[in-house]
Amino acid sequence: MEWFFSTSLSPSIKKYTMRKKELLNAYLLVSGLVILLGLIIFYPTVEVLIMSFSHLNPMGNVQAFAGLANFRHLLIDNPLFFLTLYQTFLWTVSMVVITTIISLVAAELLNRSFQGRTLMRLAVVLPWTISPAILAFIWRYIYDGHYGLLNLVLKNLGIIKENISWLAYPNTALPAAIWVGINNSVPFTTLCLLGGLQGISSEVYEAAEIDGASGWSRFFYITLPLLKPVFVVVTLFNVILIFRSFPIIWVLTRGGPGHFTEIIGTYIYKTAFKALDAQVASATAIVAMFILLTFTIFFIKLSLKEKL
Amino acid sequence: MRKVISWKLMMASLLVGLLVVSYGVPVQGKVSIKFVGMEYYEWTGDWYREAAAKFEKQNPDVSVKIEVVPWDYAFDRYITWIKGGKAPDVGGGGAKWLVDFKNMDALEPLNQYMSPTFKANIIPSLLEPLEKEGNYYALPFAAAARGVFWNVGAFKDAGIDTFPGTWDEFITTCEKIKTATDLYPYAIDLNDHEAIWNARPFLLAAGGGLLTNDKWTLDTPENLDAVQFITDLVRKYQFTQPGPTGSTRQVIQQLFIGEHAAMLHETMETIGRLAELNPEMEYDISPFPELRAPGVISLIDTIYLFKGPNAEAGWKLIEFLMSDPMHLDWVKKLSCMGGTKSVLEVWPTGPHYEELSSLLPMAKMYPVQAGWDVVEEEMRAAIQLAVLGTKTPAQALKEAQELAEKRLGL
Repeated sequence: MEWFFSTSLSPSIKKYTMRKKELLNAYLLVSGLVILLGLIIFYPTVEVLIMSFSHLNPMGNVQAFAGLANFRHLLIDNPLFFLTLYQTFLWTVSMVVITTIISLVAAELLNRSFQGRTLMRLAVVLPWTISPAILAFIWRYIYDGHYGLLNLVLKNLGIIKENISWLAYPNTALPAAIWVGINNSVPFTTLCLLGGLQGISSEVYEAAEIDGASGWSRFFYITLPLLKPVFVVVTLFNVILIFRSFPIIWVLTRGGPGHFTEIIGTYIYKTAFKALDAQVASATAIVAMFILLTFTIFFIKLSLKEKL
Repeated sequence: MRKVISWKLMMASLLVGLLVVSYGVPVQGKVSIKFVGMEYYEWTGDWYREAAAKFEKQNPDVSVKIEVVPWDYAFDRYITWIKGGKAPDVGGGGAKWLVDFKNMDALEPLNQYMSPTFKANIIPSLLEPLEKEGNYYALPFAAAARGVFWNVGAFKDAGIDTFPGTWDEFITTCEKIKTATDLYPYAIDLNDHEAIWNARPFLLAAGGGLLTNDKWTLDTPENLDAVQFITDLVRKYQFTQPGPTGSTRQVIQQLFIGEHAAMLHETMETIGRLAELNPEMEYDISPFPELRAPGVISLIDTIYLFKGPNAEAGWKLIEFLMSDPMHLDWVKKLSCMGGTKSVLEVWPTGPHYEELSSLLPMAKMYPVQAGWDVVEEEMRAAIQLAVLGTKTPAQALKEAQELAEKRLGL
């Protein structure tokens, strides 16, 4: 390789060769990640896509091309799917909206100076360290109709007179599960919004104060618009995560009572592992992916359009 | 350049090292088999490991790797392993999974392994449901009949001497208990996978069930009578604890053991729990009240031999676990019945155990048929919808039948 360092080579050739070498090293360095992503994300996605258009044998191997038969079975022959989709939208929209509101309030408060702020910030982030399944497991016992902590606290506060079996009834089971999901989503959202708030210069607020803007005016006309990029990212992230969520509902209710808390994640799981119908489960996964992709593209376009 | 080369060499060595560690270095001359055991309680993992150590001592050419799986996720894990070509060599589980495993060609037929003496020692009524197309695909590793545990003290307070034999008598008994005591007359779990074991006695007692001529049938007139009766117990008479669609098995056991419920449909393990947690409580066990037929159910937990290169070694492990000292120790600790005649001669013994085991001859096993999980879920959903008042029992059962057929592609 000494020829490479020889001063007899023109500078432009040396520069070109150095550049090629850097590129090669760069590709080598990212190749590990690309291979990993390919194995974990792209390969399974392609497999699921193939399975959704195929007839499979009991071992899950492709036997024949099925065309749209699996999608037809899902969308036309199966009334449970649309109930599941509706409940998934309900689950996603309510969780995202409530999480965002709570997180914004929390971030605003945590952005101010007060004694114990660091401890409070830690307390807000702490539920994020617990896995959703364990969080749901804890709440299952809190929600228990006979021995649960929630009934004990509410009765002591005089809010209820009789115990409520929170997970036993359709009108309480899904809200109860949504609350657990909010517990899980608020820490991360608060952290992102807090980061966004800290990125807003105090001079903007000072200038507005000098101009006579009230606290609410500053919030609506300075804070919210400047936080918009963070809102877009956090909302998108939350919608995707929550839409395809699984562990919370699975641990709390398994989709019951009577399918009233069934969401896409549990539906796919049951179709694949209980009904042993991997082809229809794959078709469901593809439909879910299509819905999320459509929302993502539409949402980003809308955000960019407003920016322009 | 030298730095980049050594960095790449390090990465390559790390990758090779990880691959070796993940696959393991086989011990020269030893056959390694994997046993998957169901997690009944906290101690079951330790029992499996101790049993494996004893087996390895007797069979030094075989090493056993143990994996303990919770019941809730066991079927899903098995399906994933089988489809991924990584099925264990031996595994415990429910008899209800037999047909699904067989359809995936995952099970080794046991006929060729069982000696006449071995086979003759297995209780026929427990072995029969595990036979398909002339081959046996599993062995009964634990069995139990379920009966109604009733609080004798609560019955006395209500002025009742005997357990009701019919549904009409059952309603009268519940009315008296509700009036005379502050106990829930009957605790029932309609929440999770236990719901079907709580509902099935009603179905059988009404002359119904889930299978007719090998076809899944949920919306029969007999099943409708059963679901209507359960709905009335919950909604019309309020004889059960509130919110049975949210009550787990642990909760209803606790209600009975804590003397907040007068009756509970349960199995042998509750005897052990009562002895441990409330030994003073006076209780009895009786068969489920009848409408048209006996409503006694039995459950069989099984042990499977999966197809693979180590099937012979796997069979040795099964023989060891089914041998008298090991099998007796297992079923005693589990508080259930064994699968062999030799163990049945000595266990169960003692008050209450014998009452429950005497129900076994009239007990009906659940159907061992493909699609059980879907049927169980739809039946559970139907009962939940009826009990919640969202649908009438007739509507709920009709919908359950349609959904089950659509989901199973029937």
